[in-house]
Amino acid sequence: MTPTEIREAIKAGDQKVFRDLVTEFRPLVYRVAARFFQSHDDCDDLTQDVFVEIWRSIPHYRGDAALSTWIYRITVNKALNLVKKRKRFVFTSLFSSEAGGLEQASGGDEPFRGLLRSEGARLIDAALARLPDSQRTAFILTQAEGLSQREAAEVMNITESSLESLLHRARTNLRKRLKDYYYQA
Amino acid sequence: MTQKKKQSTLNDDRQIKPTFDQLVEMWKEPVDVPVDPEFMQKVQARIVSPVSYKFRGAIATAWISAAAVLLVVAGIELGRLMQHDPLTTSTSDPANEMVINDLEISDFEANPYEALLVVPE
Repeated sequence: MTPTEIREAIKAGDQKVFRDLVTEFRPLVYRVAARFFQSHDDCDDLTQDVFVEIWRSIPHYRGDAALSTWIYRITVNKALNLVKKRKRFVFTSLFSSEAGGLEQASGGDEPFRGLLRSEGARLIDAALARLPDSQRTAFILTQAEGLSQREAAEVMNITESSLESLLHRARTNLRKRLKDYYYQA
Repeated sequence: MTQKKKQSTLNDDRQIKPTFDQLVEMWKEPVDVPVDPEFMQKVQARIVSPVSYKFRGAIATAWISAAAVLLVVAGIELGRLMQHDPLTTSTSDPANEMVINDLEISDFEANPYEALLVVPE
């Protein structure tokens, strides 16, 4: 089925087509969510939210971008909105001190059902959480999801050169923040 | 001596710490996506009602708590009404009010200490 046919079928209320879409894209959405949130409940909740949005917004999907690009865009927007909401309501002193904050963020005694991630992965997660949204998104889409710079730029609705600059700044900032945690020759 | 110590720390770092690129590689390790046979049902339920499963519980708890608080407040008020004793409760006597109104005495004029302030001639 072409993306336009999928759109028309879901628009007409075809549950089977929607179910197939959910089955196909759930791993993609969950994976991206897991780069923003460390608990399974948050990732699952966000993934549900994304598919509800897809169901509602599919009539507006023009079909000029790949379906996956459109879904990536919805996922990133939803994730960033949730991050903002959390920042507004929860004051955290997690990063009050650089080293202490990163150690705490990477700590394993989480009261919630945490995702199984290695210590190194948690350190990067914690440092990424401190980057500006655009740098964080660019890094996640290209490094974790393996999107090309062109694809990532399309998802973020920016030019490739802007994306390149965001990636460069993201790496520089990560190096700075993690300087105590990696070996520098 | 200091140079030696610095070199030794660097060697220790090399043995213990990963490089930045190794750290990024660790981070890139794939995330396990748990199998959830009820996922589609959850999404469909949210399409019908936009509130998530998690928040549905919280909303129900909030309603029950609010109802409980209202019941307690109503109980206290009812108890007060039942124990109401007209002899111990100060209420204005309508008969006295009528006298004051008939004499056209304002609150200021009805001051009982006013007479003490008048100097006798």
